[in-house]
Amino acid sequence: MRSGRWPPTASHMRLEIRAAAVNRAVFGISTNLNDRTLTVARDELARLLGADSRLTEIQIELANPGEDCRITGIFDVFEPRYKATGPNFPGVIDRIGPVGDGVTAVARGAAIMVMNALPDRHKLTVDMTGPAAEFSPYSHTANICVRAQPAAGVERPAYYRALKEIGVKASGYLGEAANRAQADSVEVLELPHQSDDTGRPRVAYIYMLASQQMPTEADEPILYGDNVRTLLPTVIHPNEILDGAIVAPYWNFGGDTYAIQNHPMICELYRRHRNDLAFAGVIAIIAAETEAGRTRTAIMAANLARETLRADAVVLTKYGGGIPESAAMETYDACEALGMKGAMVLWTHGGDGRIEGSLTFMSPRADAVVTCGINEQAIDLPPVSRVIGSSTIGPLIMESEDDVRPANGPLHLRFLFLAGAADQLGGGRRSIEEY
Amino acid sequence: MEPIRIVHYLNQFFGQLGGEELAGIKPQIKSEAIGPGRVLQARLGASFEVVATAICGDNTFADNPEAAAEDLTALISEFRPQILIAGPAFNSGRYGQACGQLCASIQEKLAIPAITGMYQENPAVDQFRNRVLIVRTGPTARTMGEAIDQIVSLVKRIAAGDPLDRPAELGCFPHGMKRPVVREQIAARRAIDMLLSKLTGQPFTTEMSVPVFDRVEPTRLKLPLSEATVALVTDGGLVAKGNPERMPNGYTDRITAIPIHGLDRFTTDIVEAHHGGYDTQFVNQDLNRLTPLDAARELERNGVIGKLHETVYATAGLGMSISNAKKVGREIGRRLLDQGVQAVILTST
Repeated sequence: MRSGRWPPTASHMRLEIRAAAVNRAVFGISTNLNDRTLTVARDELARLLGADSRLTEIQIELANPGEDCRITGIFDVFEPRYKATGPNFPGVIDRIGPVGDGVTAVARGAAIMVMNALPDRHKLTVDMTGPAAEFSPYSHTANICVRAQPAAGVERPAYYRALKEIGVKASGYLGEAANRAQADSVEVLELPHQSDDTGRPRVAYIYMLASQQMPTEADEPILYGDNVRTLLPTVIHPNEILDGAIVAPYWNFGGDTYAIQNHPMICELYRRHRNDLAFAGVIAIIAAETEAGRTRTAIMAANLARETLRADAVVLTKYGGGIPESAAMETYDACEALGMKGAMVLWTHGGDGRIEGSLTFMSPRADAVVTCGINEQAIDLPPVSRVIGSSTIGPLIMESEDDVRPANGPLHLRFLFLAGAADQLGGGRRSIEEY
Repeated sequence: MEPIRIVHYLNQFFGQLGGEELAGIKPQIKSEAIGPGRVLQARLGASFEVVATAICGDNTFADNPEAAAEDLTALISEFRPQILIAGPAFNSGRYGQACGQLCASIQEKLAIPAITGMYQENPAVDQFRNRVLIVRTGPTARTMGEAIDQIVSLVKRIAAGDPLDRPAELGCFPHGMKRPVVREQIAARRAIDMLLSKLTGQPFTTEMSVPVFDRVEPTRLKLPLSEATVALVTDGGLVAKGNPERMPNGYTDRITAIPIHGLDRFTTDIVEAHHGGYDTQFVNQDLNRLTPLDAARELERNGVIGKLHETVYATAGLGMSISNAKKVGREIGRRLLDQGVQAVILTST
C-alpha cells in the first residue's frame, strides 16, 4: 500500500521570494520595515546577539549608501531573510530541515556586516561612497554592522562559528520585519519536472563552494551545517542554495553569504531558463586537497552532469586560490571529455603582467574562460570621516607585517579585500583585456 | 609644417655595406635614407623625412647587445628623431634581436616611438613583443614591399596620434600582456553567453587565452648517484626560525639559504614554514615532511647518494610571477652549480 502522501501534493520544489525594498536603515524603538526604511531596535537586536557565552561587547552600527563612512574588518555579509515556516540556514542554529520550497521574505537592499575582531589576513572593507561604489554592491545597501569580541578563553574556530551564528540570527531577526511588511516584488523560482527538451541546450552549473587548501574547521557550517571537508560531487537544487542551505566558509575568498543568497550564476541561469537555455541543475563540489580527491571530484561531477542532469554544457566557478584552479581545470576537462561544452569564471593572477602567469594551472583545452579580474589589482580610496570597525587595516594577504594603516586614512586596497568586489561567483564586471 | 623626423636602422646587409663578412662592423650612422629606407621615404611622402640611417653589423650587436644599443642610441639621438623604424628583420634571428633591443633602448632613453617588423617565427618576437610594436611580416625580404606598406601605415597612425594600446589591431604582434578593464555585463552573463556561442558554433573570444609554456628537459646525471652531491630545494616557504632573512610568505623574488651542517633532521627550533598559500600547520609540526632532510641523511649514510649539500635553498612559491620564478630558479641554480652540486630534490607545495 502506498502511504497517504503519495502522490505528493506539490510536484516540484517552488520558492517564492517576497522582497520588501529597503533604502535606508535607522535606529528606533521597535524593528520594522515601513516605507523602504528599515528601523532597527538596537538594544533588542544586541540582546538577541549577545545571548551567546562565546561573545562579549556586542556593538551595532548603521551605514547607509552615500555616507562618508568606511566599514572595516568584515568577516561575512548576510542578507536579511526570513522563512516563517523555517528552517532558516538549516544546520547553523536551526535544526536541519528542507529549504528551497515555500515562501521566503527578504529585506532587499539591506545587508548585515558581521565583523571580525581578531587579527586575520583576510578581512574585508567597504566604503559607502566614493570610488568603491563602482565595484562593491555593499556601497549601495543599507548596512547593519555587528561587531562582537570573543569572550575570554574562546579560541578562533569557536569565535568564528559564533560570528556565523550572529549573522544568521540577525538575518532572521531583520528578515522577519520584511515578512511583516508589504512585498514590493514576488519572484517564483522553480524548475518543473516536465520535459524541457524543446531544443534548448541543457546547461548545468558546477559550483565549487569551498576549497580545502585551507582545511575547514570541524564544526564550520557550510552546506546544511556540514563542513564539506570530504564533499563528493552532489546534485543540489538551485533553490536550496538561494534559500540558506549554504553559508560562506570562514575563509571568505570572493563569495560572501549574501552573494550566495543572491547567487549571480544561478540567478542568470534562472533568468535565461526557457529562453535561450534549459537550466539543468547545480552540482556542488569542493577543491580537494589531494590529487586523488580532485580527480575523483572531476570524474564524478562530469558524470553527474551528463548522466543525471543530462547536460549539454556546463558552466563552472571556483572558490579560493591556487589548487582550486587545478580542480576547476580538471573538472572542465572531464566534462569536455564526455562531449559537453564548458565555460568557466576564474580570476586572474597579475604576476608580471604577462598572459603566461594568469593562472597556476590552465588546461590547453580551456578555450572559454571569463575572468572576474586581476586579484592583486588595487583601488585607491580617499580618507573617510567615520569608521565602523577596527581602527587599523592590515596586514592583509600579500602585505608585509608592518603594513598596518589607520582605517580612516587614504587607502590603497587590493580588490580582493574590497567586500563584494572580487566576486568569484560571477557577480562582478571587473575583467581583463589581453593586448 | 616641418616633416616628421625618422631615423631608420639596418644591419650591414640591408645597409648595403656587405654580407656576412662585414657582420662585425661597428655602429655607424649616415644622414640619408638607404636601401629599404628609400622605399619607406617614397611611400611615407613629404610629411615624413628619413633623416638618417643607423647601421651595425649583426655579429657586433649579438656579441654585446647592451653596448651596441647604447652606442647606436647615442648616434641616433644626435639626429633628434621623432620616430625610429628598425628593419624589418623578417625571420633573421640576429637582426631581429638587434632591432628589438634597439627599439626597446630608444623608447626608454629617447622616449619616442620605435617600431620594427618580423616574421612570427623569429625568436626575437617573443623576446620583445611585450614592450615593442612589431609589425607582422613575411619570412623573407621577398615580402619587403608588403612589410613596408604595413610599417608605413603604422607610422602614419602614430603620427596621427591614434591609440597604440591594441597592437593586434595595428597589424602587430600582441604584447602578450594583460590589463584590468571593467566590462558592461557581469561575469556570470558573459560566461553563459560564451558557453552558448561555443555550443552553437558561433565565434566567441575567451578573456584569458591559453598560455604557451617553456618545456624544461630534465638533465641526465653525468656520474653515478652514489658519487653525486645532492641538494634539497623547496618552494614551500622554508625559513630559519623567526624568519631572520625576512622572506615574504608569497609574491616574492627572494630566497632563503639554510645551513644544515651537523643536522640529522629538521626540528621546530631551527626552521619553520612561512607560506601564505597552503595550510602550514602540519609541516610546522615536522619540517622534514616539507624538505626531507631526515630521509636524505639516511640516503647519504647508506651511500645511495654521494653527499648531501650542506645548504637548503627555499622560496615561497605563492603567487609568484613567471619572471620572478625564473629569476629565483636561476639564482638557486647558479649557486648550486658554483658549489659543485650535481642533483637536486625539489619539493613543491
